[in-house]
Amino acid sequence: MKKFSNWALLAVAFGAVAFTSCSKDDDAPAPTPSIYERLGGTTMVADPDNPGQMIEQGRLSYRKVVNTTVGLIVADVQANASGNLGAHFAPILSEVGAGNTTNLAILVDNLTDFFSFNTGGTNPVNTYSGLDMVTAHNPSLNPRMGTTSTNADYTKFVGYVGAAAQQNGVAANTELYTDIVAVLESLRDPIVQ
Amino acid sequence: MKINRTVKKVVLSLLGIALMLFGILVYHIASIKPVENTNIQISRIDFDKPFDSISTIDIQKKLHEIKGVKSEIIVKRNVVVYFHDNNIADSKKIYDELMTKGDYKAERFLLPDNLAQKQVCPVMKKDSYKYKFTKFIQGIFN
Repeated sequence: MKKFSNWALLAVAFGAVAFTSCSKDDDAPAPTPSIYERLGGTTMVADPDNPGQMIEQGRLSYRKVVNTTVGLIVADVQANASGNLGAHFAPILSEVGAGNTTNLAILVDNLTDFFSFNTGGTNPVNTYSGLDMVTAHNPSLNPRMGTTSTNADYTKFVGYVGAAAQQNGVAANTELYTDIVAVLESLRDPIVQ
Repeated sequence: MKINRTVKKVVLSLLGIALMLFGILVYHIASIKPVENTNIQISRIDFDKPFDSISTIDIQKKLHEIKGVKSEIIVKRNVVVYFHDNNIADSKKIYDELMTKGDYKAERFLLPDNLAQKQVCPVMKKDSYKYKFTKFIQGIFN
């Protein structure tokens, strides 16, 4: 009888542990995938700009948003018009106008690396090798920066990125869009100087 | 005899340093991540009237057909901004080809003087050997 009780106790204890752990698994919400994963992650796809080459879908998504952002800013550049961010990118724009596009390629590459790596795309292809955000946005430390950024400038930049994200299929009413804006807002302090 | 030994040591040391520097150079070249799309250029064409949704698709399609134009084409109001490989086609060539594809009134956007005159640091004298050498090296890779 005593032997039977011990077995019963053991069965009850095992059952309790098993059901508790099952219950815990069922209740725990699945972790939200990183922004990089939600943008396509490490799935390899054909690079539309480099025939014959493959690229991670997450990186491609970011590159498209970065290119569109730069394009929207350039579309708004006007002579003697303030507030269109042209002055911030003046060194690069003047180089591109003169036929030297090396630094435009580096800017696009660095921005793609930065956003990819810091939102979950940690493969070596996305390794960011640029300046930290404070140094990068201080014209006295980084001559590539045309002028300092005010809060209003940065808000405008976030707007450009938001518009670029929407043009590339990230709807404004989605959690993904909100998360991307949250990442941008987390960079406001080091960038606005 | 003693001199020979000293010379041998110096030669071996120099060889060792050279080998080490060569190894660092090889590692650096092997590990450096190449920049994507190194010949990418951004250009803009300003049209005389704004685009609607249909004419936006049409102008994007016509630009895509031109060799060297990349996938991102931004159309905003009356402005078209596009990326292209300047080793394949420069902005004038693309503009000229696009103009043959329709009855457009448009002009290539050239940077306003107030932005174009912004010097890019480090400022170099354009007639200096350093500037010419830099342009030469950049010309090889760009």
